[in-house]
Amino acid sequence: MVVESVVNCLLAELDDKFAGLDQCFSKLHEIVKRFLESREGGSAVVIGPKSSGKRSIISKVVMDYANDMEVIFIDGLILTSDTDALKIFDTSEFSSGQLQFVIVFNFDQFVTRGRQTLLYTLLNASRSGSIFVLCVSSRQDCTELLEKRVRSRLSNSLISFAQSSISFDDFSQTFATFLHTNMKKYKQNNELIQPFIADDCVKRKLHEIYDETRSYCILKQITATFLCFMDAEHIESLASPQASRIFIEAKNAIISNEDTMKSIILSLTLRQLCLLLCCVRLVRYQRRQNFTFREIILDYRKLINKYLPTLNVKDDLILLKELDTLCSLTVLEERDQCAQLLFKRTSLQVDIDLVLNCVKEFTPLPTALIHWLDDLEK
Amino acid sequence: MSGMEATCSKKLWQIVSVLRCRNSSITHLHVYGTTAGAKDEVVQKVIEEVKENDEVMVLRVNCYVNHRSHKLFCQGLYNLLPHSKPGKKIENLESVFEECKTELHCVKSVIMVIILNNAEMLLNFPPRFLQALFSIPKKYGGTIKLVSVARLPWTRFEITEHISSPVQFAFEALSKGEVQEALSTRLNFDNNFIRCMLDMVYSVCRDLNQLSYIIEKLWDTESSDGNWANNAASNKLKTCYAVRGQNRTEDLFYRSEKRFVEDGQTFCLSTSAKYLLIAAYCASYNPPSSDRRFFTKNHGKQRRRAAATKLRNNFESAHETGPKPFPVQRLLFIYLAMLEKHDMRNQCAADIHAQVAELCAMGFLNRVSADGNLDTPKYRCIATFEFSEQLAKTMGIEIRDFLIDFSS
Repeated sequence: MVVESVVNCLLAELDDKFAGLDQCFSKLHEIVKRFLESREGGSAVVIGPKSSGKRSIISKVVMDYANDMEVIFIDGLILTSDTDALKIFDTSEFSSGQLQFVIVFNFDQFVTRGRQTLLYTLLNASRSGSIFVLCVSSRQDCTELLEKRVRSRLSNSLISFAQSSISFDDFSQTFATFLHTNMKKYKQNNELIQPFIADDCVKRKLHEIYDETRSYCILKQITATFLCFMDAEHIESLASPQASRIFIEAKNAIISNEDTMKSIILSLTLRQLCLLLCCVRLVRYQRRQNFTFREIILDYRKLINKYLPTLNVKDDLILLKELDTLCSLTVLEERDQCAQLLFKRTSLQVDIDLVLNCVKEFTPLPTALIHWLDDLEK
Repeated sequence: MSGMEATCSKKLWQIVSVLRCRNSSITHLHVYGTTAGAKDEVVQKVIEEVKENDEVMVLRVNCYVNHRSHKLFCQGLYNLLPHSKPGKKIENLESVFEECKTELHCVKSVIMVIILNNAEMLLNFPPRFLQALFSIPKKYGGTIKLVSVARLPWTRFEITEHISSPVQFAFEALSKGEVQEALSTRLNFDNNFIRCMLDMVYSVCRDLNQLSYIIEKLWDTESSDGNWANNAASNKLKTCYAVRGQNRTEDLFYRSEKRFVEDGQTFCLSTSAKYLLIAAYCASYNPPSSDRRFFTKNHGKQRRRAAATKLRNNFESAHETGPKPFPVQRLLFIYLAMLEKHDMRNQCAADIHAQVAELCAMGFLNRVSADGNLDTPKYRCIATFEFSEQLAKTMGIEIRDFLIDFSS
């Protein structure tokens, strides 16, 4: 039993809110209406970046007319060959005479493999029969990948879901729309939206989201996460002082504000960190991208004998295992080589400045290592 | 309650709240952290908390088991459903999720949570499969959610292509104070003892389970002598650890027994195989220009030059950079030269291909040329110097006489 609250109400309404897609909505409606009235076949191409709402809008528009025509969905990611896709199309052709609307999602997957048999068959049928083919893709150059015989059967209708010149005010207004509710029971919540957005922390975070991505779908996802986090802490009002902090946490959960490898590096043990610092020194001072495990171990022994004798180990095998652990954490490159572990080649996969910054935050850091870092900076 | 427990508790409730919501924007969660954090405990508590609600059912997928092919993964995912039919075959991901949807209607649940443990193994699949895996649940209006649990952040999963935009939860490593508190509640030893042992062991191990095991074993191995009980002071505890505990810690951490030298390994080789292995080692670690000097009789009058000395200084040691490949003709030449030198020519056969194949199978040689190259194959010796030297000594050969790194 879901507890009735303003947060759950907003989450339920959020699914039906689409921002900035009115033109695409009306154009799709126009295409479907024209197809129903004239009963002549045709085709169209829908292009837009990932997570721009193509599938949601198309499903919403097409299902409004599901009683008047047969709707067929074909996905290029799921169906791994043209034969499987043609089977779906053939089985649905059983009742001839009815209008058919075929939607091919990720149709660039059908373009890049095989001889484009599915697209040729569908587009050929759309010119002679009462079939409409809607090709949906995320690639901007997908029509240029088509063969000549397929491209000549494709019409020039193009619907673009790419948003052009979204300003920050539009972005803020969309965020306010996402937080708006239509139920009169929670009408007082709508009056708290503008003071919440005018907060300095929230505005700064909105600017960060706007600079990182201009996708309304990501903004919707952040809004949903924000509402879930509010529900987790049982906060129901935007006027709460905790709301801005929760919004920052929700934004950081989807778009990180710092390098995600930082938590991995801070999780290393002191011995692994020393090995990583030896890799940093090899890259910086010998100016080489590639080095072997043996060079790392030799450098590590020099460092340890001089600064930290308690970390000394007699067996190289232990250090080789630690280096393998660093490879599995993708801090070092893992390269397949069927030879001795000592001569295995590797390279550093994280930024040097990130490693040095993480070392300064590492706790507890021995003072001898601080001296080593000071020597390294000189 | 410490700060880390409060943070984990907050993340726990955030994950539970995200899993319970029915918005279609959130279908993928990514939980990551190394073994130094509290990721596994929190995920377990999330499962217990979510299962208390009858509206949510949980499936747990171990990616180590189902990571080799698409059909194995889909079939394994389908077999986890409570009402799955034994003989039914699942071909692709869409069929699996349709069956999940049917299962939700069957058991009157609302939300299905699929937890992908050890999600690093998903990287073995092509990106197209992962895109399909994480995009199909978006069609079901937020009623099917995927939770990937891994050690790596999501940016390492989509290095080449964009796969998904998950809600990420990072679990930081426990700090030293938090580890000490957790160990004090777990173990029944003296707090002073735990603190001193943690001071010693923390630099090489931060895993809470491993630390519990190591400290328990340290207590068990030394308590019979009464060292810990008699030396309760901090300084004496550190002294005792420095004398006896450090080597024991390494063995406990890696679960290793005493490693003894395998003398039986050398006796398995035949005489010609031993000579061949020594010749292969010399071929790998000597430049070809030195063959004339080491392996021919009457190689000419030696002339010393200053230029040669300068070249020697710039020459990088082969034992520093690793073994070099050599053709099989060079190996045969060195092998026959060694036989001549030790008067073994009549006792060993000249056909070395069977012996070379045997050494490759045993892991002493490594073929570096293509498999189809049967005319001039190249090999590399991957035996260590200590092993080769010991093998040569058993046959009365001083291998350093034939290596340019050790000769003046």
